[in-house]
Amino acid sequence: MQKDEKFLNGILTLPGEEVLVAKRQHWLTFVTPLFSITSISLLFVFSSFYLFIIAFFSPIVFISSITAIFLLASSLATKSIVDWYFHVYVITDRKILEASYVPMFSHSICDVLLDQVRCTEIDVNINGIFNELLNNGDISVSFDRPTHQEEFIIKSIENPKEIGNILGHAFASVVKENSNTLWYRLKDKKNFGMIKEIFPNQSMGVN
Amino acid sequence: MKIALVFFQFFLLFSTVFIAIYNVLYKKETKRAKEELGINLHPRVISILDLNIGLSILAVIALTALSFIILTR
Repeated sequence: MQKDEKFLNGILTLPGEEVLVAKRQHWLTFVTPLFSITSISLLFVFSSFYLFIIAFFSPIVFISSITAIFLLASSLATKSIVDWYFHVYVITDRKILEASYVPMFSHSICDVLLDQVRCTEIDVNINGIFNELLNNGDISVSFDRPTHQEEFIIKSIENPKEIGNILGHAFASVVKENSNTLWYRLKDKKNFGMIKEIFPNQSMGVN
Repeated sequence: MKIALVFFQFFLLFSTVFIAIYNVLYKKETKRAKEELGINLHPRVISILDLNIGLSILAVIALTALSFIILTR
C-alpha cells in the first residue's frame, strides 16, 4: 500500500473500500511550469530594467514593476503547486479514480468502477532519459466496454511499474469475484439461468 | 513622458490590487477542497498560500506609497 493515501479523509472512497494506491503526479510535473515562470519573469525584469533605468530614468516605476512581476510570478508558482497538490489518482479494490481540483477554475472527478468494465490492457510507458532516471511514467488502462473515454490514463506517476502491477492484481481479483455469476438464456427463451447452478466451480463460454 | 509613467505606475498598482484580491479568494477556494474532495491540506501548502497573501499585502502597500511619491513629485 502506498504511503501517500494519508492525505485522503474518506470522502472519495466508500465505507469498507480498501485503498490500494493513492498518489499524486510526479513532482517534475510542477517543477517544469516553475522553471518557465522563473525564466519569463527574468525576461520581464531585464526588459523593465532597460525601459525604466536605461531608456526613461525612473527608479520608482522600475521598483514598482519589479514588485508587480515578483507578485505575479509567486501567484502563478503557487497556483501550479496547488494544482499539482489537488490532482490525485486513487486505486481501490472497487474503482480507479482521478480527482482534479483547480481552485476558482475547474473541478473534475473521473471514476471507473472495476466490476462494470473489463480491462483488456494495462500499458506502462516510460519515455526519455530523465523519466527513466526519475522513475516517472504513464499507465494506460484500456477497457472492452465503452466508458466515456475508453481508456484511463494515469499520467506522470512515480514508480509506474509497481502501480501497473497493483492495478493488474485489482482487476484480476474483480474478475475472480465475478466469474461465478455468468448468466445464460434457457432453452424456453424466456428465463435466464446462472452458469454456477449447472457447473459449480467451473466456467465455460456461452454461444 | 511623465504622464505615461504615472499612468503605468497606476496600472501596476491596480494590477497588484487585483492579484492580491485573487490570492485571498484563491485561499478561500482552496479550503473548499477539503469538504468537496476530502483531500487534507498539508501545512506547507497552507503556509505557501499565507506567504503569498502576505506578499500581496506588502506589494499593495509599497506600490501605493510609490504612487503617492510619483504623484507628489
